[in-house]
Amino acid sequence: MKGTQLGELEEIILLTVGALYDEAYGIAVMKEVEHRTGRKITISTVHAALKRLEEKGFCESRYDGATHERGGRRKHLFRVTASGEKALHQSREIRNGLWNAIPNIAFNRSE
Amino acid sequence: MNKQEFWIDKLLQRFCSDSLYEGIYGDLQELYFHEVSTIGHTRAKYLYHWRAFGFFRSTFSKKIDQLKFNIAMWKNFFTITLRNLSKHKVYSIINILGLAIGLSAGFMILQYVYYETTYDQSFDNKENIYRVQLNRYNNGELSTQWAAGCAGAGLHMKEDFPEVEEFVNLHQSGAMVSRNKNYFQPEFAFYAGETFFKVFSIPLISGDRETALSEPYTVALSESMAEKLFGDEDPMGKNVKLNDEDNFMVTAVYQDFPEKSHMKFDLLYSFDTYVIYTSEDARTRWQWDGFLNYVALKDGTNPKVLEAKFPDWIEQREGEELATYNAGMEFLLQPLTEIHLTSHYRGEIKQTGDKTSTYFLLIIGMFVLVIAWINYINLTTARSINRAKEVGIRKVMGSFKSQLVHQFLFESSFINFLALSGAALLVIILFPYFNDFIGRPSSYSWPDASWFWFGLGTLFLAGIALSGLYPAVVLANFKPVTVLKGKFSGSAKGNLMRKGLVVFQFLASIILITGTYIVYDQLSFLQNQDLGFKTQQTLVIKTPSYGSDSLRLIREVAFKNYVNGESFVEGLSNSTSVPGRTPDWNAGGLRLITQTETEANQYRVIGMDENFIDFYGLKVIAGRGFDASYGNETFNILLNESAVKRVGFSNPEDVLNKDFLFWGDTFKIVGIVKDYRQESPKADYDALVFRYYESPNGLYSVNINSTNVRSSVDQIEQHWQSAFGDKPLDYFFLDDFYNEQYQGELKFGSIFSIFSGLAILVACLGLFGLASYMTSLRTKEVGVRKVLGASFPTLLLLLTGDFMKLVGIAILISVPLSWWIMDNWLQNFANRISLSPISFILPGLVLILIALATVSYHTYHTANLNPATTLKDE
Repeated sequence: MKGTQLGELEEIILLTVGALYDEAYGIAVMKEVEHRTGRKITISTVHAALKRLEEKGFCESRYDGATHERGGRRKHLFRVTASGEKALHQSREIRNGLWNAIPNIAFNRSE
Repeated sequence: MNKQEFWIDKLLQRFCSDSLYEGIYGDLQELYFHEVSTIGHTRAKYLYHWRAFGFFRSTFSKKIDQLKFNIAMWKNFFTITLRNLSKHKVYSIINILGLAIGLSAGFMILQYVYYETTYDQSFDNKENIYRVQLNRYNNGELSTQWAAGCAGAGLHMKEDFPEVEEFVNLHQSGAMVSRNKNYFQPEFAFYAGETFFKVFSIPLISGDRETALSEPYTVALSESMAEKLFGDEDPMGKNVKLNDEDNFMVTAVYQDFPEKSHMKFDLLYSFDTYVIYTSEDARTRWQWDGFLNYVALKDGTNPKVLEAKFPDWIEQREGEELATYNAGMEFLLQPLTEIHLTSHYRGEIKQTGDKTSTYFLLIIGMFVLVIAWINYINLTTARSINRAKEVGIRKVMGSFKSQLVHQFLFESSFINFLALSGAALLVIILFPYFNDFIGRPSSYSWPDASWFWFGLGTLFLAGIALSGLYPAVVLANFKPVTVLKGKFSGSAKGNLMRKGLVVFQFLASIILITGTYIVYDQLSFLQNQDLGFKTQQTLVIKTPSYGSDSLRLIREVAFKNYVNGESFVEGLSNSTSVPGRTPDWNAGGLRLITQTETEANQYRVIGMDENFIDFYGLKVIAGRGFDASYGNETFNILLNESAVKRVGFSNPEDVLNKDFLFWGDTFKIVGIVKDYRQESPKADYDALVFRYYESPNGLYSVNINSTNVRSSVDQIEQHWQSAFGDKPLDYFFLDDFYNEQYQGELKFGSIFSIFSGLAILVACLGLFGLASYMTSLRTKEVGVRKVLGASFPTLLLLLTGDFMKLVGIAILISVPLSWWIMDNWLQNFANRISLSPISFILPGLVLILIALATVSYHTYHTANLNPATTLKDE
């Protein structure tokens, strides 16, 4: 069902929102993702992903922190919700499970 | 506060849902102000817009919910459209068929016009390449317009004007080419300057662009010529033979010139060779014509400014010499890409197009299309009463006016789309015939330029808007109260509009009919007039190409004797040109020995043997024709009537036996020949001088009296081979050759008539539908009139009269319009018909008959109805 799955980009963005805690708005997320992963994403992609995450209930958002630099507009700030946290954990567990399932011989052939 | 406004903000604000917009806008602004300090305003602004565009996706859009409602609505529109189409089958077929014919005609004509107007687009630097066209004047009067101008034009232009970056000169070669005794007479062989491949970016398959033609006795071959001569062999470095004498080494092979070019070259010999064959004059002389000169100007040069410098330049370089001939010269620069449509002068490489008929055709195509659109408008609005109740109900149920407009626009789009599909089918079926018909190569493929398809799409959308918008607005404007009470009838304004449109349709039709009539009148005038000479069963053979063969004369005499000995040969003549073209030989500075140099003039010259005059049945009106029994005729000449006038006499007898100075030699005028249509029935008579040669180089005319022409030609070919060996026999029939001159007009005439026919057909379809509807509205009225004693003819007149009035108005308006248009067209002919009232009355009658036939089917039917059946209900 839609709403329970996390796409790869969504996961990274959701994690970034978590990492930025109270300062997660469009530009900050974009820069952080770029900084961490070296991946260039456009601002509209970030916004689209954040909106989807919010629709799925993994994020919540509020408006705050207007600055002169922003033409007097407030920032659209995001925070990870409890179900978002759960989804992240789930995804991590799936990965850990899979990591553990890989036999040593598969990656360490020379040993 | 820092804030930068951009036009895209408003758009974005409209598009994005309100809860998201503030965050998006803020982020965009923040990024902009970060960047503006590092990369500057321009780039930051560009990035701003780029990013903003990224937000136009459905994720951020406001209007998801409305969409679902809309789908249901459109479904309903679709159903209603289908029901209406199937309920009124006749109208639907008329509408769709009319539009399909209009669209396919429009499409074919549009792409024809596109084809004709986009020649020579494939060359690099095409916008800087010009051809130097030469106009020659005689006593201040324009005498010859050359596409292939004088020898020195390009070279001296490059020397004297820094704007000229490069030039290339070309001169046609009539030589025969062979490889291992395998002979060809190429049609498009030229000597070309070494800069040829630098000026024209035609792709080379092998060879070097810079040096290919820089040495004498080298040749570049087109791909197809290389294949003809060498087959699968690699031709590079190998030799071909010219006139069985000189060897030319192949130094390059180039791709065939595209069909859409005014140029075509099978072989290009190095120009240096031509200079060796003739003299340095071939490079430099200004009084030697027949040389194509192309110049490449420096980027940004205004050709008009350069052209303006030419008169002084000509005066300075050549003024003295020109003054002695009483002559003048003028150079004009023809842009490369415009040559095909605008140039039709002497020495064109191949047949060029005709601008006037191309644009004429465009107008005709548009006429057909507009007539079809009008049909749709008329039928839809006339039948609007049927839809009035539906509109009333929809409005009562809460429809917005805009939704109703959408509905009817949707209907017209749907019908237009059906018509478009029909048109596509028609075009696919008819396109090859159409191409064949207008004489385009079979290799022609569909236009691939995206803007062409874009233009076509625009036309389609314009059609929807033009034909759909008016009826849609009319229908959507009905007041529910009026229409539901049943009191509704068509408005007077609507009727007037409809009548106006019908008048326009018939106006367009009548102009086309009149045009067709006059075009054919002029053509038959040209074809049926007395040409002044005979063309029957005449075979024309080109004299063989030679270098300097000492046996030439002996061989030629032998050939003539062989041919004359055949029983099927009624006559033979040998001359430098035959009727059907302007004679190639153009001589200036000719005068009577008693006249001064300022009285000298230019004449066209034909060299001929003693048989020519009799052979072609020309009339000698004073003196005598050439006749070897008078002794040596070499220094005797004949003039035609026009030449007598040019010399300055009105009575032919007055110049007889006078001495005539021709390039330093003195000739005696022994006869005057009546004017005949040497060049073309389209042109005026030219001033001609006839000179005597025993065996002139050029053409043999042979009059064949035989039912089996094929075998006669075969026999002549055998004589040819025994006289000249393997050289190919190159021949044509004079009547074909002569008639080729109005191929263009004939084609134009038949295209004109076909599309006129289409226009009339579509207009009649519309009239048929309209008449059927209008008369059906009057059935009750007719019933009452009948009961009250109206006779059948009176009723017929009553019903038909309305339509005939419109046709009458159209005919009246058309007369001055078509007179003006066709008078303009006729100005193209020096020799033309004069417009008479018949040219307008006859087409008018034709149109009245056609309209009458179309309308009377319904009027007759209605007037014939029994009042008992029409009046019994209500």
